[in-house]
Amino acid sequence: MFPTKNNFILCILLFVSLPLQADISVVVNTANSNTLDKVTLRKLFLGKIEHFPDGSPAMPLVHPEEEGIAQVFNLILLNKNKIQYKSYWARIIFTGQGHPPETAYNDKEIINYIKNNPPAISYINSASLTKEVKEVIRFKETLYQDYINNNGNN
Amino acid sequence: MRSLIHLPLPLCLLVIELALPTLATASEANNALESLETRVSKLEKKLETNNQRIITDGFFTAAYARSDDDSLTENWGGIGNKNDFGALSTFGIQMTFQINPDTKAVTQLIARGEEEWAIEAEWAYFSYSLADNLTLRMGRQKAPLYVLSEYYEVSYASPWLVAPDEVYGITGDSTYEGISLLYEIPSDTWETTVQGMWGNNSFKAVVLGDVSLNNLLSVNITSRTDTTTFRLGYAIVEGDFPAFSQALPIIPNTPINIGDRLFFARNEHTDIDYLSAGFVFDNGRWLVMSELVQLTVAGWFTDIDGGYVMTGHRFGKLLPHLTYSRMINADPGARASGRIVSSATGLPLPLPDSTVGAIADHFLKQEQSTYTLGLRYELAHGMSAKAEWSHITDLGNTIGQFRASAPPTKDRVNIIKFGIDSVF
Repeated sequence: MFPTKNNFILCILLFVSLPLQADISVVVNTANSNTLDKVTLRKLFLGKIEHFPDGSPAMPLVHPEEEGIAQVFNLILLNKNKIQYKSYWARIIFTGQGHPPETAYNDKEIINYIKNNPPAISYINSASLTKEVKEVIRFKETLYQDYINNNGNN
Repeated sequence: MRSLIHLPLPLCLLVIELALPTLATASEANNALESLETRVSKLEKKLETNNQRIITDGFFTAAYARSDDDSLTENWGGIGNKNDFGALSTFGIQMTFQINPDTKAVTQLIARGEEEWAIEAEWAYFSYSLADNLTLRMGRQKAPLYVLSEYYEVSYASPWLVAPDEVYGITGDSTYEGISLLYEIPSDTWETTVQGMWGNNSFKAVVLGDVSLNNLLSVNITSRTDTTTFRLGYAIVEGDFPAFSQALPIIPNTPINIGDRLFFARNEHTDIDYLSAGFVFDNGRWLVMSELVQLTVAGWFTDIDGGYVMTGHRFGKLLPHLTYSRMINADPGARASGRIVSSATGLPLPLPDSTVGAIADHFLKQEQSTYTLGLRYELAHGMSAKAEWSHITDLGNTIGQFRASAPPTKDRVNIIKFGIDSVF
């Protein structure tokens, strides 16, 4: 049986799937009482500031750039696709202005690190959220779809 | 185990078979937990030592280039009419020593194929954070003359293998020893940086030889949003240039013979001004870049107005782009101060200043336009492949951005470039 045109398009859509569609929670240590808005979070994850609003040191952790959750987070919060994100840090590094945040490999590792380290801040899939960390903001999966609708899937 | 003894053998085997996966799962879970704990422990140690560690970063470009003109060599990269794997190839390594949270030392070593892979320290400075938004740098650093000046060699961070010659090829070496101050103006929408610099530079120029540039005073302001960058820059510097001597061919209707030389005396304390304006728009799909620069040099040097406009569109990993760049001579010709010295007598030929000026114009005026069609493809994470075709024309009987023993006889040169670049 030959695929119909609609089936063919469906197959293509299944193979060319979006990196991730799930809510993303930005998480900090439970003792962290700072109120963090998107502007502050952007500055933290782009290396523009190194302290929380209360003056305590901040240590962002990120997922590997190739991971779907990292790509979605970078699109939603930083407004940078994978290539733009890499180019941004290339410019920052080789003009001596800083380095990208350290990388953790999964949500469990992030939670385990954050629960013992008050300066840490990172993001996880909201489904992985536990009481060991504190959620400061949640990005709905629809935000990613809105972004794609407005800007295209780069 | 004791209770199993009393069970029939088939039932015992069934119980063991059912228990084994459970035991295996528990064992795997323990292993996974240990692995996670080990990784978290490593991560903690890594982050704890974050402030004291040495960070190493690097970049490279491996490229091939060739032009279709066998009488000219491209000035900046040295591209000629031969298979050239060195002209645009570069390897760089940067080491950042975080001395304490406010102080770091940064060294960037670069080896270029064009310079026989000799290693040169392009950056070597101390950086000290005076306040949250104010940073002081002392040492060897790139002067921020244009948008890409500070990371010109990091080809991965730009759409081209080589940025337009009509802007980036007119300044010479922009590495200075000096002091700079960077101030970031706090804002929630525009990220604005003001940078001032004072310093000196000396280098060996391709045609002129040993050049000293002293007391550079540079200031620029760069404002960025997620998608848009605006930049304005101004710099003044005092140049000391050696005497200039150029062998001439036979020039009809003049007493000039082959071997006679065009000569300009040493130029000291020559004022040089750089003025620039830049614009970048990048929304993830469309990329538009443009810069306008003005180089003004006192004396017989040619003043140049240059600029480019490029546009590209990303289709996933592909970025096709088109660039038009143009440089024009911007002075009326102050080159009558030269002399043409006879190779036979060693004395200046009795020529009117206007004739000397007109002949000198052929070798020193620089005009050209370049149309570049390029394609960038993201090969892998942090690695891109690039292909470019540049059509250079509108030389207007000038030498353009080429080295040659005589002005070019035709008005078009094509250069093809292929390369792979990466950051790591």
